Amino acid sequence: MRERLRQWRRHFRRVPAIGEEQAFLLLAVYVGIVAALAVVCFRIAIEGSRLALLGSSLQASPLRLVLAPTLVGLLVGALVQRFFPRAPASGVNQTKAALYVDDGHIPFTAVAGKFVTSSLAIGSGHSLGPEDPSLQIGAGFASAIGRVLGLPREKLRLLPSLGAAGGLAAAFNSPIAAVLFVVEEVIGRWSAGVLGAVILSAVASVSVAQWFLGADPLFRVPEVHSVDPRELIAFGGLGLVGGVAAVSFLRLALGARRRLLALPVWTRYLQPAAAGFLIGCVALAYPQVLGAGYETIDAVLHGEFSWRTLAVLAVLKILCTGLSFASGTPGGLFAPTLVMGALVGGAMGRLQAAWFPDLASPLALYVLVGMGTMFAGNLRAPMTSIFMILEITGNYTIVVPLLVSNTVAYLVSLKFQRTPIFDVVARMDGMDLPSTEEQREQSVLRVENAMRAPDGPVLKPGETVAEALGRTGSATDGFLLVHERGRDWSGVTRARLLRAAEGAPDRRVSEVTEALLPQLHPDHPLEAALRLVREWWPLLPVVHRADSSRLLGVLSLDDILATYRGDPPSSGAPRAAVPVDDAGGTATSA
Amino acid sequence: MNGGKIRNLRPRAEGEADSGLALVAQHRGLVLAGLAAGTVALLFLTSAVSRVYRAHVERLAREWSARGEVAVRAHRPEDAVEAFENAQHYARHDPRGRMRLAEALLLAGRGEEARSHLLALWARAPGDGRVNLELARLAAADGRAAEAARYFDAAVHGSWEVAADLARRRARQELIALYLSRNALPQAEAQLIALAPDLPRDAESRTELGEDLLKTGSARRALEAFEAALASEPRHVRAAAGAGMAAFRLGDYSAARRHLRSAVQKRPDDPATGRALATTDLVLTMDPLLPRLRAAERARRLGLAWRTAWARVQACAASQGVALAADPQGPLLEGASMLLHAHRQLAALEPQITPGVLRRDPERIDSVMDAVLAAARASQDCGPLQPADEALLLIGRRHAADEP
Repeated sequence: MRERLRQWRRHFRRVPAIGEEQAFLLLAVYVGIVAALAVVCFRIAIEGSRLALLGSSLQASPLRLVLAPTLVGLLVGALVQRFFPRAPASGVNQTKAALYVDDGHIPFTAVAGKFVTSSLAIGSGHSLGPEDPSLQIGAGFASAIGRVLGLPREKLRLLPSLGAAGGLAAAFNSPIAAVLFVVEEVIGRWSAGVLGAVILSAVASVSVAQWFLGADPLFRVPEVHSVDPRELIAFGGLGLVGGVAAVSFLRLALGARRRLLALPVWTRYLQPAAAGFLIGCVALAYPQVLGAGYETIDAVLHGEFSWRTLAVLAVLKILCTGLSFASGTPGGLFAPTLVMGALVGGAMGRLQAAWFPDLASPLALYVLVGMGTMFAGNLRAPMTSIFMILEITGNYTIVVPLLVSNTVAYLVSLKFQRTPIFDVVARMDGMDLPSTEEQREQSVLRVENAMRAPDGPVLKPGETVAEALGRTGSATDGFLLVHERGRDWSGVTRARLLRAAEGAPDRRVSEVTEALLPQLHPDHPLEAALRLVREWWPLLPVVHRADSSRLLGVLSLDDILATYRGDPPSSGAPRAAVPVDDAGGTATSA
Repeated sequence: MNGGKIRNLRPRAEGEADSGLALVAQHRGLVLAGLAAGTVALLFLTSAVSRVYRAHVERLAREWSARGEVAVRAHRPEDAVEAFENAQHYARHDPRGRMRLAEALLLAGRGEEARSHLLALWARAPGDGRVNLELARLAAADGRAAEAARYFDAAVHGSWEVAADLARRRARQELIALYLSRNALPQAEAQLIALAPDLPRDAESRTELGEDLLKTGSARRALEAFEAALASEPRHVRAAAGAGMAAFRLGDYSAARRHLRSAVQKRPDDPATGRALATTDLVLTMDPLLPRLRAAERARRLGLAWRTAWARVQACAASQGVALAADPQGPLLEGASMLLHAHRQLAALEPQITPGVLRRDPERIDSVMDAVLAAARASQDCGPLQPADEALLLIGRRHAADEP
């Protein structure tokens, strides 16, 4: 027996220890699993509160319709003001704050508060969705795990993002969309290590969530088929209408939130209840506005409403979601955004079928494209919006109309609502988080924006110092480039040349040059060039990528700083190559 | 997990002596055991909660489904739709529930919604006979005949959970009705031929088959079907009438007269059968080319045929304003020219229709009949045919078919 134990011990010692990176990837899987378990409980809690508050029928009684959101609004208002002040904050922003501000720390009370208040609010019919809270619940659990494990700051900062991906993937049942959203909106950068961990977390999460909740999507998607290319014009129109609807919603929600936040603090106890009462009143006539609204999407996908009803419902859903959001009721905007999109898309699809019956795809196609369109316009996550719909439908014939419509809506939203909703909300909450959209939209300055023609001749290594000084003439650059043999470039300061000329004017230039210079290309980011320009390399050659003996221009620290300051170029923009003549001079110097 | 305690855990700075994972490595047994225990607890909690939730939801789905069935039986389709929608909410991916919802929507007249559900069911199970049948009916109602035929065909060859043979037969019958309504007679005939072996052997089914075959123009197969029906139930009126019509179409006027007389005796108020019987009688009494006729009788029939044709030509010329004395070689319309030719031929042959002439020269019978039939053909566009005119044409057609 002892011998066997010794054998086992020896066997285990032979198993290679895993490195930190592999351990982190394993941790990502673990985080995904835990996030999924939490989100499964959260979704069941929402459904449970819906059953308890509104009853098992999708058409609740009028009394319940008005009382449930009102009374729950009162309760949620009190809970938020007394115990969970961070519950109304956006899960996306809290995860970003964990990444950029709080060293990966998300208070567990915020997670618990989000769980309780969101499940009550959504279950009672407030027009909010479970995805953003799920994202935050996943991030919160991940943060707790990271802290229990005592991870280093760098890893701990990243861990909530993995939990967020897991939470969102479990809520949406769509891992690709979750990965894209977290990378696009929370982390804001693509690197292999981060992406791998996020993917593992999302995949693990979806697998566990499907184990408990089933693998089917949140709503039943009818068959859709490819469209006539001429119909893309209609989808462009849908993008336009969706973009306008998105901007209307954003202006309404953000404006109302700003106004309600300006009211005395005691009113915040009542704001969710007031919003709930108004939503309940609307629901008496149009119960489809209640809650996350997946049933409404399902009904629209199956052609349940006329275009007039769809248009009215779209307006009411925008109003109700704006009310819920502005009142500080905890919950997310993802699902209501999809519902708004489905309603707008459905209305447009109905009109298309009425006006151009020969050029009308199935209604479900318009509904699905509308969902993606509104997502792109409201949440400004264009990649996520496309892949999410693809994941939901599993049908690639939808790609082209989706691309057309989403792009139009995104551009409309970008034009009329400069700051994305998450960034505005973060600023309202007193945080200035880095905006991933600003980063994305920012134009990168490149070497070609700053380079200029050299103000002096290009020297040859074989010429004498005296000859070289004779050719410099009135050149103002204190540093002169030397074109070495082949594709190399070096340089020498004018002062050094002068010193060398005093002692031995017949010395070759090659005897006084510095070491070889690093070379730049016009497409290099200016940031990279900044790291290379040192005091001892005051001027760097910018050469052609295919032929580094071909000088395109030069770049100095002053040129870079002037470009960052936005100063006008001092000597034009020498985009054309600077030919090096046989004597080593340049066209400019000549 | 305790939020307060967790908050006190200070995040470790980069470059601190031990990385967190190294610390985990030092105490990994303890930390990992703790995490494993926490995870297992969460797993058990989630399992328990989801099991309770799922059981509750399944119960709700059953309850709503039962309410839907009650509403269907009580002919309250809107209530049924609501109940089945609720049931679907709790058993979202139950295809049977979705099928019931689609059927309730059809009952409520909400075809488009039903179609959307049916299409989704079809995508899941393209060979489901019931789904295909409902889709076919919707397509047929919307006038999309090709699509309807495709779905009907899939329903015929699809899978059925109960009474598959009966369901397939009914689906095929609906497909036949669709083809007949669209005048797609060869397709309808093909389906009827395929249907025949599956039909019960009773007179009613055979009669229906015969009637449909008759509509497709397949008179021989129709006659077989009617005769099979009459064999099992000799007094079946529709079978007798159908057999008479089929025999009439086939040119078997003796059989047609037998069946039609039988049908008219049992149901004298059927005008179509009565008219067919009258025409059949005329054919049989006017035909001078029948074998074994005595010369006097043949001459009488030939004379009757001549007079009928002569009267028809006169009436036709009068109705069209054609002067029968005009020169047929002159500048005339084609119809008028044919009429004048027929008139001249008939006029030339009149003295030859005597028993003596016919006995001496039997070839004259054919030339008289040719002229009579040419006159009947020339005048067939002049208004509705009288029974005697129709009989003449049928006689002509009958003997044209006999010629080699």
